[in-house]
Formats: sequence, structure tokens, C-alpha cells
Amino acid sequence: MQTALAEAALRVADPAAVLMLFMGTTLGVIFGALPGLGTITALAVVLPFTFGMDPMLAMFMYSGIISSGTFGGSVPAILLNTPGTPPNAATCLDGYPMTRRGEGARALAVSATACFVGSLGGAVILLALLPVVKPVVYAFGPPEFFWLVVFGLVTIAFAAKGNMVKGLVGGGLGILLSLIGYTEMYGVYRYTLDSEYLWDGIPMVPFVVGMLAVSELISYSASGGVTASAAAGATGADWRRQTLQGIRDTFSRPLAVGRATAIGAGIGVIPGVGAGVASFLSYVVAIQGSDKPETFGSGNLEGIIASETANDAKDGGSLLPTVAFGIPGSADMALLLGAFVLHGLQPGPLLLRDHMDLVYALLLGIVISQILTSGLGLMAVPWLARLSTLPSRAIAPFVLVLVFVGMYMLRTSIFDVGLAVAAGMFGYCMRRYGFPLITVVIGFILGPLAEQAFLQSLMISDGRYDIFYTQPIVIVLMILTLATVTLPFVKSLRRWVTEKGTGGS
Amino acid sequence: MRGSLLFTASVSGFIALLLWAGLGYPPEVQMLPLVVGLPTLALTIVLLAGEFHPPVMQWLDSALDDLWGGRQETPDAAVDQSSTSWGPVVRMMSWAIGFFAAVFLLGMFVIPPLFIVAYLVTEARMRLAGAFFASLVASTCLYAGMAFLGVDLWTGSVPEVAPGILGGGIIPPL
Repeated sequence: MQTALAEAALRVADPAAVLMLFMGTTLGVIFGALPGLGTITALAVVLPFTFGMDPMLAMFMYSGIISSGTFGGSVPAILLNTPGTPPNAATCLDGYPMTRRGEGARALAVSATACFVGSLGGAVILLALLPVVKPVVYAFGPPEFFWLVVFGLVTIAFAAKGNMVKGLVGGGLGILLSLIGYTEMYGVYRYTLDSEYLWDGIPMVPFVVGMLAVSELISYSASGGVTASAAAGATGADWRRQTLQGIRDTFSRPLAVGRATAIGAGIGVIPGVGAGVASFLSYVVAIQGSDKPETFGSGNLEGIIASETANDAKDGGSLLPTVAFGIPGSADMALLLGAFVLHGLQPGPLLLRDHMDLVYALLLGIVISQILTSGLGLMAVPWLARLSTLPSRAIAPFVLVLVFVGMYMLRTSIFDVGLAVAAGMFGYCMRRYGFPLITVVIGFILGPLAEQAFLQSLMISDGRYDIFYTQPIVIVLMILTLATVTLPFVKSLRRWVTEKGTGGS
Repeated sequence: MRGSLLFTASVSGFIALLLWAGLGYPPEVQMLPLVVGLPTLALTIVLLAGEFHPPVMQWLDSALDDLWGGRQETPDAAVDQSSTSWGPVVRMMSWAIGFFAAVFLLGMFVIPPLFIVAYLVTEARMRLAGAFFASLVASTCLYAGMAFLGVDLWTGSVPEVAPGILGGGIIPPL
């Protein structure tokens, strides 16, 4: 093992490897930052070019892409309320409010640092779990998966605070919209109105980008001014000081970072759960663990730490089942699996036995690329943050062109562009009348995952519902979910009883 | 009729329509729409009632928040949208729809540069030369990036005028 690690470490010093890492990192950041693209598209684009390349060099390029996309996606999420990738939607919750009050640089620095720590933590956890991961992967079936997603869905209730009824309506609407399309389990077209376009359902990326980005674009262009207008004297903000403050903010919260890393890597290990669940679940847990849960959603930097750290730590975790068993931990890992095959490698125990150097190369690549991403990102933060002080009407056409091209590139369907525009207008109306958009997005992303896991569980159990409350992991997850939902009520009740007692005495 | 009432009623009607349409599906397929749709519809009815009696809604939201830890504002609601009049909003929506219609017809090679110039001059009050320069830089980056990635941009649905640039795009089935 040490020999393989040394071999991979030596190869990292190779100028060709550095070049591949740099190229992968650059592509990852760009694809992550462009709404609608992301690491999966980036991997798909470079895959054919790496055919015939030295597998080790190819691994460096892949790892560069995989690790840098998250930070790239957080930049528009924080500055424009436009998640570069769907999991970055959780970052919008606190990142954008920080930008609006003139703390864009601080939020970006928190994101860059959190991504770095998350990546590093994910890699360490991967190394530690490599020998013992098998039972963990096989212990998670559809019922466990179902409760995990339900845990993620609990975020809706937290995001709806302050406007609970409308928030819950938004969450329900998001889930209902996500149900449109062909149901694979039963072979029925649901709510498709005989439209071929709707066979695969409402495409997630155009819908989410439309709801968050286009609606925001309409909002800020209509009101004019600058994004950071809420902050007095934002144009004179000290961006460098904010950047340093952001770095300190992250490192001064080891508990929050550690918790998010563990959640991200843990979720990553479970095949098929994905970064969306990791970031939202980490967000919920961060709220639960906070002394000031009421500040989440209005610019609490622990919210950014929770989502971005988990998002990046997930990469290390999802690499685990991919290389150890050939089971992709996420969609981008499925492409990586294809890349392994392309290079004549067989993921699974044989890969660990014969090509451990390649696994280490991927791991080292992820860490080094993240150092590059976060380092360069932190250097760029003061300039990036200035975007928030530009007149919104001057930014609007560029953002709209970016959204149009990004949405078209995704599936080369012009109707995806139209959908983003329509979702944007609908989203604007929701905003205007006080419906928290993020609840719609959470419902839309997690709803179908919950249904699929629920139906798969029922099929496994021949229609018996006890599968949802009889197995050990299921019971733990169920208790955690129920505790998350009921704890705020219990706290309020205790506070009320205490206040009543004090008032009465 | 108030905008919020109209919007809430539309959302309520849409959910009711989904529920009604869902009744025709096999039990397994209609389960989730019913489980999620019925409470959501009930909540929209509460919202509609709140439109006619706002104090009831305020009381309910505040009671739920008190029970749930007592937060006072949400990220989206934090930005007061209602202070913006509908005029600029409709204007911006028209730009977005117009841009989409123009791209649909004439493609992504011709329209984006023109759109950027037109928008910057009319909405951002930028000088024509500045807007032209900004559009040139953005378009060059865009087309160079697409060429590097080997992406074929949409050329527009009008009959082919310049192959690969203007017209001849095949509209996918809707």
C-alpha cells in the first residue's frame, strides 16, 4: 500500500500530471460555475479525449474535475442566488443573504475553505474506511435510503420558517411537479398530457435554474440598483479583510466542519444518494446543532459550511464504493466507472489489488486539485465579490445568455431554455407573494428519490409496511428524522411551560 | 382582484387538478400524489381563507413559528418583492420571453450579441460603443468556449439561411 502511495505521490510531481490537474481543475470550476452544467457534463466532455492517455494522467484530470466543480457552483449561488449545480442550492440559503448585506467575499471565502476542508476530510475518511466499507455499502437498501431522503425532506420545514404555511405549500408543490413523467416502477405516464417532452418528467436543472436564477434575475433587474444594496457602503467594502475573515470563520468552527465532513462522506459512501441529499441533510443537522437556529436562512455562515463541506466530502465517500466494488456512489462516479473501463481497468477488488496506485492517484489528485481550487479561488474572491456591486441591469443580459446557453447545452433541447424562462416567471410570482422558493426546489429534488425508494422497499417486502420500521439502521434513521421534526416543538413547549411557571410565581 | 389572491387560487386550482387527474392512475401510482397533494391542497385553502382574513394567517404563521423555534423571516421573503411595481417586472419578463422567442427563431449565433447590445443600451443606459464592446467580448468568449467543447449551438427554427449558423434547426417533438 505504501509503495502504491509513494508511486502515486511521485507521479503528482510530474509536470504532465500537474498540467492535467490544472486543466481538470479549470474545467471543473468553469463547468461548476455555469448553471446547468456541472462535473458530470465536464467528465462526459473530457472522457473521449483521455482515451489512449496514460491512465494515471487521466485520473489526475478526472480528480481535478470532480473536486473543483463544487466550489465553482457555489460562486454563482452566493453572488447571484443561482446554484451552479443543484446541490449548491443549499448554499444559496445563507450565501446570497450574506452577499446582499455586503459580505459576498466573506461568504465566498467560507465556501472555498469549507470545500478544501471537506475534500481533505473526505479523502481521509475514504482511506480510513477502505478496509471496512463493504458491510456499510451492503447495509443500505431502499428502506434505509427512503428514511435518509425523508430526513433530507425535513429541510422543507426549516426553510419554511417565518412563512410556514406557504413554505409547506411550496414543498408540496415541488414534490407534485417532480412526479410528472414516466414511472419506471409501474410503467405509467403520469401527468404527461401526451407530451413527449414530459415523458422523462420536468427536467431538474432547467427547472431549478429557472426557479432560482431567472426569477432572481427578473427581481433584481426590475428593482434596479446593485445586489449588495442592502449593505450600507458595500461598494467600499474591504474585500481582502472579508476574505481573511471567511478563512478564520471556517477554521474557528471545527465542530461544524467535522460534522459536515462526516455527513458528506457518509452519504457519499451510500450508492445513489447523491450530493443533493448530502448538502440538505448536512444543513438540517447544522440547524439542529446550532445555538441560533433562527439565523439560518438569513446569512448564517454555518449554513454555507454545512452544505459546501458536505458537498465536497461526498466526493471522497462516493469514490469508495466506486473503486472498491464497482458500484458508483453518485452520477459523476458512474461516469468515472466508464472511464476506468475505457482504460481497460476493472473496478472492484481487482483494482484495489493490482492498481492501488491509480486509486491513490485519484485521491491525491482530489486533494491537490482542491488546494489549487481553494487557493486560486481565495485569491480571486476579492474580485469575484465586486460582481455584487455592479449595477444589476448591467449584469442581467450576460446572466440570461449564460442561462440560455447552459440550458441548451445540457440536452441540446431548445425547450429546456423555454422551461427555464417559464419556471423563472412562475418563481418570481412565488417570491412576490411570499412563497419561499427553496422549499419548492428541495421538494422537487428529493421527492422522486423518496417515492422510488418507498416503492422499491414495498416491492422487496411484498407490500408489507413493516420494512420501514423493523431493521436496525432504519429504526435509527427513523428516530433521527422524528426527533428532528419534534425537537423544536418539544423545546418550544418546555420554554412555554417555563415562562408560564415564571409568570405564575 | 388582489394579485396574491389570484396567484394562491391558481396554485390551489392547479393542485386540485393534479389530484383529480391522479385519481385515474393505478393505486400505487396515485399514492404519492394523494399523500402529498391532499395536505398541500388543504394548506392552500387555509391560505385562501387567510387572503380574506389576513389576521388569521398572521396568527397561524406566528403560532407555527413559535412552536418551531421562532424564526421571523425567510431568505426569499426577506427581500420585499411587493415594493417593486409590476411595470418594470413585466418589462423584464418581456425581455426574457422576447429573447427566448428570438433565439428560438434565429438561433444562438445571431441573437445573443444583439440582445446584449439592445439590453445594455435601453435598460442599463450604456453608450452604444460600450455596449457593443461588452457584447463583442462576451460573444467571443461564448463562441470560443463552445468551439473548444465541440458544442453545436441552436441555429434557429427558420429555414436554413447560413448553414450551421442561421436557420435549419430541427425542433424536437414537444
